[in-house]
Amino acid sequence: MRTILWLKLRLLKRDYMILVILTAMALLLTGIFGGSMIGKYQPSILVVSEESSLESDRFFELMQTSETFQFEWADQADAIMRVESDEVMAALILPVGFGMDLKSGIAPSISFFQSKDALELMELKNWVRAMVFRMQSDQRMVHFSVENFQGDELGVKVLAEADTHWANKVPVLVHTTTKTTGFFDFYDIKIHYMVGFLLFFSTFSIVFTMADLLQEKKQFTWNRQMISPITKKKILAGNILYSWCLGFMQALVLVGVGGFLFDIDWKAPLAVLLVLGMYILAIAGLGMLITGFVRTLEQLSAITPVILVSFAMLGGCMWPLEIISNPILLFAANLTPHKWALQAVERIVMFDAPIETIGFPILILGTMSLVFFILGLWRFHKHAIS
Amino acid sequence: MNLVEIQGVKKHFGEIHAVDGIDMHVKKGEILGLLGPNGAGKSTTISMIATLLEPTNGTILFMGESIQTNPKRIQEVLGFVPQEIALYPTLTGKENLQFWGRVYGLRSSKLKERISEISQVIGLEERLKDRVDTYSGGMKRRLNIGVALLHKPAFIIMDEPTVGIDPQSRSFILDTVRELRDQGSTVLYTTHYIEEVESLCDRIYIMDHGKIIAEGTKESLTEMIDASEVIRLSVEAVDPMLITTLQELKFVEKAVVEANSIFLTVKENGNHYQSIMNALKESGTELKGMDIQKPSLETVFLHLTGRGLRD
Repeated sequence: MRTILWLKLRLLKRDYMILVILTAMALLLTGIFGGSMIGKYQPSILVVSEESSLESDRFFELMQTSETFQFEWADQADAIMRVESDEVMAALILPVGFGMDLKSGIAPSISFFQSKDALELMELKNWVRAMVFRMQSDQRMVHFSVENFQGDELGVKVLAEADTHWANKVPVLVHTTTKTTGFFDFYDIKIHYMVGFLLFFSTFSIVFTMADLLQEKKQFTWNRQMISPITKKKILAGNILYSWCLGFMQALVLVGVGGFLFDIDWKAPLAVLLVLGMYILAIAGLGMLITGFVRTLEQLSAITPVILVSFAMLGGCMWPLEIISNPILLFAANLTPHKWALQAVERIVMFDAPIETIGFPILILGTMSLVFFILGLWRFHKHAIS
Repeated sequence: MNLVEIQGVKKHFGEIHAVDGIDMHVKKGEILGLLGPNGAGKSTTISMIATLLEPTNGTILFMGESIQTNPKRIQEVLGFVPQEIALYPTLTGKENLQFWGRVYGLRSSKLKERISEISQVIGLEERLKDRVDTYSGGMKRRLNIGVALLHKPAFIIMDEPTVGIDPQSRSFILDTVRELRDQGSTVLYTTHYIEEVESLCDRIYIMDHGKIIAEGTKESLTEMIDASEVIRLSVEAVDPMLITTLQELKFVEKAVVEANSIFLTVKENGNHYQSIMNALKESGTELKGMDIQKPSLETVFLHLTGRGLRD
């Protein structure tokens, strides 16, 4: 096995630029694709008010404090036309009685007008709920103050004072214990995209490293190795170890440099690297399995992007699986290493989950590695004897 | 004791019977030639001996032990020169030798010593530090052989090692093979070049369509055909009637057609030419050339199979 590693390092010395380019590309493409989904992109939302009230104006002002969306007033006909033509993502319709409802402490009914589903709409709905909640709280405060202290201008003054406090800190300190929570309350879509794309782009170099076996077959050195005293198991183990080491080194760069470039706080980097280590092993196994099923490098080059992109899509690298409701797709996601790696990393990075919670995903990744390698070895043996 | 014994070995790839029940043996210290046209089953046979392929049926023994149950027995002492250049093109010649030496357990000073010796044998001392992809075809062939000789193998298999190289490198390789035999190694040499087998091999097996069709020394093989000479007639087009007429001549043992040539195996010396010319004239065939050959392995093969080695 050491001899195989010796060979691989010599070959890497000659062709190290390919690995550097692949790593740089993984970072660059993660930046491009991840950035395009989270960067300065601010979908436009129209606000239609069927009444003219201080409350609707204030609601609009509060909505504009969002960093995710940009809002503009529109009349109903214009809003419908622009939503239908996909010029804007959605429109919010404040009904007649919106202000009264707020004053009365009744939850106002706000209509959403949208032409299609989008992940961002969940965030929009959360934002609307938060702002309405804030207005209701403000109203209660005003109501209480006016009732107790009298005076026409007092309510306005209290409201202005409350705004000042909201701007900097929550005016009332509330201690809460959350038993269950909505997924999107804690979900950071930026981290999801960054981790997802890092996982996705890192797979290519790992799979193509395993494909060195096909290169060996093409240049006939594989046959020469097969009839040497080194056993086939040792030759394959050497190749797998090399592929894993290279993949892990790349992961170190991606986690280190990627975290710095994309401003990701990995929270527990060692746990993240443990997950990535198992993920790389599973992807190396997948690479071996694919390599075992194809006969030429050309076939591999054709089939690999299809498999890796499909796995990444199914595994949730491109979008959160939480927005998927199709049971078949959700079942298929369980069969990809991407899903489990992404889930484990997100648990650590987004939810500050204790390290024990990544045990199960790691176990699944380990099992997948084993299955992929066994099937890959079986295919290799079949090729060898035929 | 024979070094290698092959007993009833078959290799089938689906419906294709690449090797169809052969028996052969390799004696220690000899150069054994395996001769046959492309597709005869030579490469499959040596791939099975080298443990690269498993026989469908039959047994291969090395030093009396089955290589199917204990492949390591032969792998440790085998030097295999494949038909293809099996080297790492982006590594230097020295790095290739270092890797393959390590594969066979050579390390540090012993490895250095062997690389130095082998580079002299293959005449590449000056180019060892260059990448293999900068070598000429002949140099790659020589390095391909050098790699197989690093661990001083007792048994060397060479699969058409001279295909596609210049005459100088070819002569160099053939001399190397003789030296190996003189140093006590056993060589199994496959080729479809008659002249290589005739000049090199102590004993020869002739293969065709997956079967051994003849075996012996060059002399014993040529004695197989009861002929004093072979007359080759080059004609514009072969008339089937002419072949019948020629076969009816009493001094003709056999008439075989290969492309636009007719090979007549003639039993005894004598002036047969007038009869042949008469037959040509009768059939209206224009003679373009005629030459007389002593029986050779080429004519043996032609005699046994009815076709040439390079068909």
